[in-house]
Amino acid sequence: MAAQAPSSGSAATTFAPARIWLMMPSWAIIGFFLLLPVLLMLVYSFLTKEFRGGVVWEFSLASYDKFFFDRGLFGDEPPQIQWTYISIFWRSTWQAGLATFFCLLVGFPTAWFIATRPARTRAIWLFMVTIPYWVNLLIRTVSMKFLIRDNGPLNELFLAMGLIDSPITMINTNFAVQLGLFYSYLPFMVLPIYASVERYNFALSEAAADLYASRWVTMRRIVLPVVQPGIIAGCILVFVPSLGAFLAPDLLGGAKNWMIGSLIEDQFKGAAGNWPFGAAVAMVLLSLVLIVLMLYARSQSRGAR
Amino acid sequence: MLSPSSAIEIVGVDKIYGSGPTAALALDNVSLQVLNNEFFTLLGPSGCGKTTLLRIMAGFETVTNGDVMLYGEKLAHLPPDKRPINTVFQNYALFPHLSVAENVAFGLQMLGRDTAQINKRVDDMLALVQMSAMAKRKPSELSGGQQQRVALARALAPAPKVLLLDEPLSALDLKLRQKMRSELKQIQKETGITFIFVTHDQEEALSMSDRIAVMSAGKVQQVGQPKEIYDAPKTRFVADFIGETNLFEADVISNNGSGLRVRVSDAIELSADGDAPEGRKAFVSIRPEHIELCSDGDVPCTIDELVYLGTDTQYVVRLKDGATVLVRAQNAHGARQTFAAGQAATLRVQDGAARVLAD
Repeated sequence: MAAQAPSSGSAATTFAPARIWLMMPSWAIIGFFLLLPVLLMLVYSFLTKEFRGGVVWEFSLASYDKFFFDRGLFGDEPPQIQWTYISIFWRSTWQAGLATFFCLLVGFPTAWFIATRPARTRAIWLFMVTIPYWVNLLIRTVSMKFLIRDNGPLNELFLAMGLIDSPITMINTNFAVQLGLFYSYLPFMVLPIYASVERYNFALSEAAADLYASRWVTMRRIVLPVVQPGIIAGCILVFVPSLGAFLAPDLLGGAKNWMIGSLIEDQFKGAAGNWPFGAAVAMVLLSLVLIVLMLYARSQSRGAR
Repeated sequence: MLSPSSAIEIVGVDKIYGSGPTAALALDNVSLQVLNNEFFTLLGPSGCGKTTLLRIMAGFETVTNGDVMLYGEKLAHLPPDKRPINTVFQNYALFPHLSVAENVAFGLQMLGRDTAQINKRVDDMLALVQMSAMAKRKPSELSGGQQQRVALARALAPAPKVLLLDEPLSALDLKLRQKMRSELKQIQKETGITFIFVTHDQEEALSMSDRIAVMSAGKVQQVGQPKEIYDAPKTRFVADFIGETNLFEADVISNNGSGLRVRVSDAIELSADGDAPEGRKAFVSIRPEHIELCSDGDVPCTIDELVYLGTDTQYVVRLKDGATVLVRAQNAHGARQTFAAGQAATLRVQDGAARVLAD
């Protein structure tokens, strides 16, 4: 992103007209399916809400005001910081961060394992990682709900093994949301890390050992820095969708464990029916993600200098 | 039991990959002694086991049987990171995320040297391989030859007792390869470190080594100085692999203990060096440059083909019985008669040129 900016000068000189035409389809797709909807949401976030969904075309800062400030039930009290939504954001960030951490913890060894298998068995392992994606996310999340409910198979198993005396409440907890996020996005961690470990030249590890580095030091000083792009790609691919996830928090977390995604969904589809506010929340979320990505890009470009 | 000057001793090493019916014997009872401060070369075609032997010395492979000793101490129980041996890898294996200086410093850091000492050593090593100006670059910003130098500096920096070099020149183009040969030899002399060099290139081996071990099919065929290997090959493999030669199946007519008489190609009788029992058949090697093409020689022949090679001319000549012989003549000014293809001529074999081979 920002790291590529300095080189774009030389690329610009090679922009023959034919190339511009070749780029039109992708520009059209990005414009129509990405920029236009985002722009629409940006505009909506500054409009006035209509009852039961929809918007009135009248400029208003009410949505952002509602997000950040509490002016009492009738809007006539002095403004105070509105913690409700900020805490949902905070919980989302925290949950997404935790999910990223656990996915990395499990995903890295998994990716390493697959990448170090003989070439002909790798495809089978990779296929197994992607198998869950043959089933719709909604169905998978619902089935997770059945697995972890109070009298579900997991509790039954623990009871039968004598590990617990009474069922553990897992459903409608942060733990359940975490489990859902972890399960949903683990492959997004495994695949990019696999791709970079698979390209890793293991002669580098031999060279490190030859130069008196222990296995642990080799991992830390040589392997991790070299496969770092894959790790970071995996973390972004898990963190960003986790941040906006709504199925897992809705179905597994219940009303108390809302995340940003649930909040936005509720504004458009649910009881709240406040489109401008939903759009404003989405804009705040987008800003948050962009800030994280820009910080990352800046750290990368500094590292490359 | 060991001579003190022996840096590495390999004693009866076998290496078997896999097990059961698919097992492959990579090294077959290999024994070698590499002397202190020696430039020692393992030479052989691909698959001969030379790289396996090198990896065993580095600690990346274990032996199936036998022992490897470094200055009289057994190495078998030491992992690679505990051996005072460094390696220059075939494709250099430079750490891509570290600069040239950081690459060279890596081994010293792992050994826990202090920063001032490391910096000085890195500077010295980069000066040694003439890469001081590139210290801050990343490996991806270097040419193949430059990467080669950095790999050498990195492996030399911790001052290993033995340096292993795994075909380090094979990725370079011809001119650079020739330049690096003399530089490598020079650096070996300057540092006084024992070099063990693996290559399939006989020219490389002959030009750099103090001694060469020629390997084939997991066995050591012959160990000796370059001249010895070239002039007095012991086996058919060595004679054929090192340089060009004419191989004849010969009858041993007599063996008086100091020299032999052999009969080649039914009619030609020669004296030969080597050892073979009287009355038996043996292989005889005669180098093309030890055969003279002239008009008053002993063996009549016709010239099939001639190839001009600049410094030499190579002739392919046919004997009466149809056997072809390679002859190489130097293109010195007016030194010798020249011949044209199709012409009749005679051959004269120089004294002591014929060698009887062990198999």
